[in-house]
Amino acid sequence: LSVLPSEILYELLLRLPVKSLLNMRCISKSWFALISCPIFIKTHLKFSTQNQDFRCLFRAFMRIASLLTLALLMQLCIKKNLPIYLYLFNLIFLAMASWVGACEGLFCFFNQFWVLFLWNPTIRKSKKLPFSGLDPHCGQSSSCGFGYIECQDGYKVVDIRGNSHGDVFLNVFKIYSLRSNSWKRIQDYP
Amino acid sequence: MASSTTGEKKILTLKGGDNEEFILEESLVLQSELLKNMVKEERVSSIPLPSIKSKTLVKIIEYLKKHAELTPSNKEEFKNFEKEFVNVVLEELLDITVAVNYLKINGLLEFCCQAVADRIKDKSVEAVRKIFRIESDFTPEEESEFRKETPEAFEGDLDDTTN
Repeated sequence: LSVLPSEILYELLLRLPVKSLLNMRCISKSWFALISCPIFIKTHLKFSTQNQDFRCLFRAFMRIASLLTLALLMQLCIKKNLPIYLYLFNLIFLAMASWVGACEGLFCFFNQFWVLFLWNPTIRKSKKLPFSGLDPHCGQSSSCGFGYIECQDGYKVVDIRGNSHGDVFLNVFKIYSLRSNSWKRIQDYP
Repeated sequence: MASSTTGEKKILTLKGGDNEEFILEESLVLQSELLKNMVKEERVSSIPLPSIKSKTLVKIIEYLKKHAELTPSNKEEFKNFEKEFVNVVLEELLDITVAVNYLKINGLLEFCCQAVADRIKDKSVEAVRKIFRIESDFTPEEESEFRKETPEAFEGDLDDTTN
């Protein structure tokens, strides 16, 4: 074999797991450039999610993660002699509130201080999102969502707070875009 | 030149890199996009493939024959054949992959690429460089930076033999 044709290299890299791709960046400048190229990353994501195994693995992971938290919490309350219902309540709260959403291999959640995070488990990197400007403690109802918009090729987080002003109930919408790393307030919705 | 005809089947000759000749039915080579276009446009009866070793060509023809016999009932058997097909030394697998890419046999190309990827995914950076004969073009500083940031990349399977 003299030189590997570039089209084969491309096909080859598409079929490598993310973990080896991260390592293979160290091979040479051209490999580094190819693996870091956004178009390649997108194609690789599409290619690997076509694979059904990946989705099953993902679901299994989520299930194991929630079981583990449950087991840990049970152990904790047995050790500290505290009523189990307190921890179960806590757990339900955790499960309901902390996971905003998951999409295309990215997770969005907030921690106990209501700070939003994006997390990519495959490359073990997380990103703290800037404060949305909406006070988490005020507002009678609040809701968060996370998703990917194909036509804009971007990840978005939506933060909604509802408040009643006299007779009128007003929702404030804010949208975060990962691409610009900023929040934008959009039209209020009654 | 018109292709020779025996009965209704057209016969075609492929010439490997070491001038060895392989005579086979034209319908078989139509699985290769490259040869299909050659046959259609020029009505040739003999195609020289000097860049492909005869050993590699033998393997590819073996695949073409098996693939042509593929029916829903022998799917399982074909899958086993495919597994055995890529169970060769890495050097040979790479030769086959490059040849298949040149001949444009799409299904087989995808299968070969997956097989190569599976073979190299756990290898260390040094081993992969040796396998593909790549010289690092990073500066020594960049190189040591990588070693600090991703030490596991240099600790993988060090086996760089291709045979």
